Formats: sequence, structure tokens, C-alpha cells
Amino acid sequence: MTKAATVRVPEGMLTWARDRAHVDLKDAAEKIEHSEADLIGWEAGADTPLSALRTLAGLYNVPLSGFLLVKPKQEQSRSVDRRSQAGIAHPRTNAALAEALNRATGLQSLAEELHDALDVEPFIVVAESDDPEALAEQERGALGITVEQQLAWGTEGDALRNWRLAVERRGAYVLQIPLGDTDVRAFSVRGDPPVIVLDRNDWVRARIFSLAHELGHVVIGGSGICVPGAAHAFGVEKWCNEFADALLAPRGSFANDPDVARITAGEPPSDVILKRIGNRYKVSPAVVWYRLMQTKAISTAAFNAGWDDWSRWRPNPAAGGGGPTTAQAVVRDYGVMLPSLLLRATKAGVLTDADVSQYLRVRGDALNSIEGEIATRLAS
Amino acid sequence: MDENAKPAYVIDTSVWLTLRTVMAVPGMWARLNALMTDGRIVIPREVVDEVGLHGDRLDQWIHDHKGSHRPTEDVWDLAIEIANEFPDLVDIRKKFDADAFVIATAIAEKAARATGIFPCEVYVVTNERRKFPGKVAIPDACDVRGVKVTDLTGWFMFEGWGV
Repeated sequence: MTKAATVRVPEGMLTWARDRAHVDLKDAAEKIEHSEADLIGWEAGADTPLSALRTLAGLYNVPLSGFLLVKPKQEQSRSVDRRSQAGIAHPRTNAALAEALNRATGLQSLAEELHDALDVEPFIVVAESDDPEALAEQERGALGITVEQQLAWGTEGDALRNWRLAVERRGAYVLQIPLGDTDVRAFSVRGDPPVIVLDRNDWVRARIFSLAHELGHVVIGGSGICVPGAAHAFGVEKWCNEFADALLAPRGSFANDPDVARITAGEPPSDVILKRIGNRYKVSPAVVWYRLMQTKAISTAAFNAGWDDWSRWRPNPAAGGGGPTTAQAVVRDYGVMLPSLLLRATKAGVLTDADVSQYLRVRGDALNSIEGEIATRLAS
Repeated sequence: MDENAKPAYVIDTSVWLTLRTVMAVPGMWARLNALMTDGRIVIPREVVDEVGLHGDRLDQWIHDHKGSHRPTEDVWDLAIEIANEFPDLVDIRKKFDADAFVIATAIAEKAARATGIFPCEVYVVTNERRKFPGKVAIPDACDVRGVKVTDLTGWFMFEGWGV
């Protein structure tokens, strides 16, 4: 029988990778079907079976080459955990969240390098006011989305695509990553370019709100690991919720909505009416409920009585359709502008097709179809 | 080293991906098979993994020619040396990242062939260019380590292929 190939990983690097991935020793040992003692030994620099090392690389989301270095690469954390301001007493980071944070930070540093190489315009922080209503109005202008356009969008999916593309054109990258079994629904990473990450498995309208909430962090030059729309948020989290409400349902237009006008005139805000308003603006009933209070269509007491329920309301999950193509999945996960930047870099000779396929985690011959999908999104 | 000896090529993933489209050119399969038969194509195991198996004929061809594969464990210590001399070569943002292994394989192959029956030069074939200012890519590290490097076009020209 041939002896399994073994190699030695520089001491400390396996521990670094495991800590970075937020995987505990027991889970890691179980996944690779070895004992914890084996893993402790390997982390201390003992001979490691190459097959186990490959599995660990996959589990920790680093390439095998990451275990060649004698000291870890510098990675700057640029996102502040705001969950305590959203009512989470003891925020925890699990493997799914760690993977999303690492991925977003990595892609941001890549985009930063490419922006330098390709001379891309920097993201402009525009905040001239700390009033969320005023800043939301200003930002809506920068995004170039009118209320008339918003009301004319056919579906909530169209709304998410249009908001997202507008934010990307504004200069921030918007990723969608499954955040798994975590209380985090979105986060933003400070820097140029800023990066916003939405939970891919969240309800579409919740993602629209999360996008607007994170944009709030970004336009004031901040960041956050967040629970957008949390019922009893305070501090900057409350501010970003108000910014998002104001961005998605501008006060003037909202107050003039015929259903809102009827509620203001005294008609009870029934579920049907609330959802009808939400359908017009492609926002959740929670946004409508909050705006009804802010525009004084309902009293604070009425708002408080219904807020906990509406802030948690979600529709029943829709039945799944067919899976997306590779190109569609890339645009869903990375948006339009980031893959577009990477493809531009290949044309400029800064990256190879192989580089791009590794960054986007797709096969190399998918790049043409991705370019086609991007063009379709931009043209539609 | 025999100046007239034909070189061997350690081929990077970037080149294999481009080759997929070139293989439709008449005569390409015969040329590639001839190089393989002569033992002049070398493929690091990490490149084999990075290329993957996606139903493409060339992917399958790469996987099937195991005699050209070079095990990762054989070059691991050399790859550690290369990676720490040129940390830019290691990109933890990627899922697969074979750069350090490609250069380590070329150095090992060069040493092995220098003492063989038919000593020959070894080239790294990569489409990577010198990338961002102040960052080291495969060609830069090859220059420092005295490993010859070329791209797909250069490789074809060495072989006198008029495609």
C-alpha cells in the first residue's frame, strides 16, 4: 500500500485559517474525519496528509497556497458590528457570516486594486446633513430614481434590480451572499469602493430595505454589520432605518398616496390597505407602517401597538423555480458592476480569464456568457 | 545543456483556458499530442485541479495524461520558499491559486532535466503579465529565479506553429 502524501504547513497558519473562518476545532476535526489531537498536531507544524489539507482549505475558504505562507496576509476589517444597536445582546459570528465578511473584504481589496490600475472614479461621500429625510432626498437624486419610475416597476424583483443597479452605478458594489443561520441580514464594508452585502435568502422587499439601510451607512462614510429594520433599534442603526424609509417612500409622495390620504382622514389602516401601499412602492408593510407614523397618518400609540408584528411580518416563501444559469447566478451574487470591472481588467491585461474565473468561482469559459448577461441587464 | 534540445513547458492555468478555444484549429491536437508523447508538457497537480473537469475535451485530455502531472507534495517545500519570497503570488481571495506551485514545479523540473539523459531548457508558459505596479506576478518571480517564461504566442513561436 502506498503511503499517503504528507506536507508540513508553517506553524500557526492552520490555526489562523480556522480562526478566520470561525470554525472550532471539534467541527473541523469532524469534517475531515480525523481526531482533534491530529488537528492540534498539524496546527503545530506536524506532517499533514495532503488530502486532509485540501479538505481543510475548502472548509476554511482559502486556496491550498494560503498554507504556504509563514505569516498570514494582512486583511483589514472595515465593518463595525452594529447588532447591539439593533437589540442583539450578544452578537456572535458564525462560519457563514465569517465567510461572507472575508469574501466581501477580499473582493473589496481586489476592486480597490483594479480601481487604481484602471483609474476608476472614487466613490463620493455626499453627506451634508445628518437629517435622514434631507440626505435621503439628496441621495435619491444621486441615484437618479424618481418616484414615478419606482411606482411603474412591475415586480419587487424589478425594484431590487433597479435599486441595486443604481447603487452600483453610484460607485458601491452590492453582493448577495447567503448569511445562513445568523441574525445578520446585511452589512457594509467601508472603503473606496464601499461594498454592501445582502442576505441572498432574505425576502426580496427585506433586501430592498437592507440595501437602502446599508446605503445610509455608506453615504455617511460608515459601515455596519446589521439587522436592518430591527424593531427597537437605536443610534446609527435607527438613523439608517429612517434614512431607508425616507429613501424608499419619500415623505411628499407618500403623504399624497390615495390610501395614505384615506388613513390620514381616519380610515383604519387594514392589512389589505397596508399591503396595497407596500405593493405600489415595492416595500414591506413595516416600511409603510413606519412612514404612516412619521407622516402622522397614524398616532404614535397606534404605531407602537402594531410595530412589533409588522416589523417581523414576512410573506410565505414562494415555491422555487428553475435554477439560474452560471451567468445569471454571477450577476445575482456579484451584481453588474463588479463582474464588469473584472472583465474590463482582463481586456486591459491586468487580469487573466483564469484569475477572473477564480475570483468569481466559475469555470473559465463562462466569461463570455457573463458579459452577455451584464449587457442584457444594462440594456433592460 | 544541449542548446539544440527542445524545451519542456510547465503550463499555467491561464494558458489552458485560452487553449480551449484554440484547439479547434486543424492540427492542434496532433501538435499537443506530439509534445505530450515527447514528455515536453509538464502540468502541476494544482493546475490540473484549477482547470477542473467541465466536460471539455481538453480538460479531459489534461486529466488523462497523468504522466505529465507533477505531485504537489514533491514541490511543497520549494513552493513554501517561493511563496514567502514573493507573497504577492499567493492570493487567498481565490478558490484555487497555483502560481507558487507552477514556479516551484518549473525549478524542480529544470533541475531534474539538467542532470537527465537529454538535458533541456524548461519554460513556464503563462498568460499572466506583470500586473499592478509594485506587485509580483509569475513572470517577475520567474525572472528573479532564473526560470524562462513565455506566453501562449511565444510558446507557439518556439514550436514554429503558425496558428
